[in-house]
Amino acid sequence: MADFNLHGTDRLSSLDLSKNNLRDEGIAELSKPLRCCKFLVSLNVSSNFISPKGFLHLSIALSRNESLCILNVSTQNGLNRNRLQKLGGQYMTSLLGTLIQVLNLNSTSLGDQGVNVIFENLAHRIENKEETHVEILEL
Amino acid sequence: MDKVLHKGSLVFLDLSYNNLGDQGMTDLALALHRTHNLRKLCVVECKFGPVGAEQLF
Repeated sequence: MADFNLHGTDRLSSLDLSKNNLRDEGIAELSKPLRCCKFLVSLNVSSNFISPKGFLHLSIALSRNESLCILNVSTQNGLNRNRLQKLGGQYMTSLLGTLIQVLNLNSTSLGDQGVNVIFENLAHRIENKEETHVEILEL
Repeated sequence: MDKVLHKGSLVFLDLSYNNLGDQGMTDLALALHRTHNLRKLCVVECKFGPVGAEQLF
């Protein structure tokens, strides 16, 4: 693979930014470079005050990613709560068809409707024999 | 730190639970841009926001 020009953080395979203050603006800033991270296998942005708007940025950035296997967008110990809610849940369904195997959406205010959105999408994929690699799903 | 990152073969850097803030992250990112081997970066609870994140890549 011709990656001779990559340097610094371009070749990261694991990035843990959890428990900071990224907010939607930070996720928006990261969304463009994340599209170019061809080696990123694990991304953790749990507990970063992210709202559905930020999850829209994230889902677009990662929807065509071909390396990411582990994504954590949960809230840890109630700190800097990420709020997916139903809308964010809908955005995240676009990632269920990627290579992601471990998806953690714990404590993100998904609610019954958000959980339904995720499961309906998974059921739809199974019925229509559309690929999903999700093996571990935490809601 | 710049010398360590640039000349060395650092693969995994964990600066979690340090009060880097946006300025610290900006300084760190500048140094990281000169690395060639870094594969794993952990900056858990380092008190930075969008400004710090923007500098990472």
